[in-house]
Amino acid sequence: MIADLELDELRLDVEEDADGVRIRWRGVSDMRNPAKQLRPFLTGVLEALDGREVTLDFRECRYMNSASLAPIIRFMKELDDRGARGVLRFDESWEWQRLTARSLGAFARRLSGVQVRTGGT
Amino acid sequence: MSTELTLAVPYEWVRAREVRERVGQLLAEVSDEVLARAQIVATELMENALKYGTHVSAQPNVVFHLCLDDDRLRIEVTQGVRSADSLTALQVCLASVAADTPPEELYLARLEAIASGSIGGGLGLYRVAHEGGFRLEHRLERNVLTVIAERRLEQVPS
Repeated sequence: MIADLELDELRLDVEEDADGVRIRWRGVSDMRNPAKQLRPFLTGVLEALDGREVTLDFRECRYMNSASLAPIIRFMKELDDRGARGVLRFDESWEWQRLTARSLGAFARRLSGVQVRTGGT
Repeated sequence: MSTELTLAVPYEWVRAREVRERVGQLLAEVSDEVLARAQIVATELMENALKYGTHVSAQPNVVFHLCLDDDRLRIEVTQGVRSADSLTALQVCLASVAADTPPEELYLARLEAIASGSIGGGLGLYRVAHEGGFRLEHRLERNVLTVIAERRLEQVPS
């Protein structure tokens, strides 16, 4: 079982069942060195997937700095390297999420198992 | 008519969030697009200054300045220079952003390098250029560095 994570103003809530793992990012991710905690957390998620799809759901994230994007990029690549499937979900009614989803979507198109989806529901 | 904000803030990480929130309050009446880009750029430039800058006698605080007028948004962040190495790294980054390569291409190359593990980060200024759509330049006066981000605003149909 993957444990939730709380870092400063950010909370990662994990829901999992036999089909998939969903991680809801809530709050603000603007720490100086978020990779220090996010890398081991996301590596733990990778280890626990066991063939299930993982969704990183950012729709309740109010802001994310570029330092927070780096461990997510690493995760996308490692997920793809393992032949696993992943989805990143953004709410494009938030302008910063629309811009970030567009950038990560362009990167995800270079991968085969990771998709970026937008939409409020 | 122009809107301006100038803040002198200590070299403390939490100040970047405070600046982003002040920008949000100041620009509450502008479009979501302008506001979001301004907050991204303000945050990334402040975080860079707090991470790589330092207190020097000529620049005891980081100074943040925003100016929005009818057709232009300009953000300047001034900091003390910590070391020759950090200055050189920043100048190399700014030179690459100022060159002819499209910002999206630079940004994606950076994401690829992060994905492969060859670099750990350093996305901030590339994000300013690509997601923010800002032109970047800098001014150096002795050991005080100002990074300037400017974007022309498109006319929004009424």
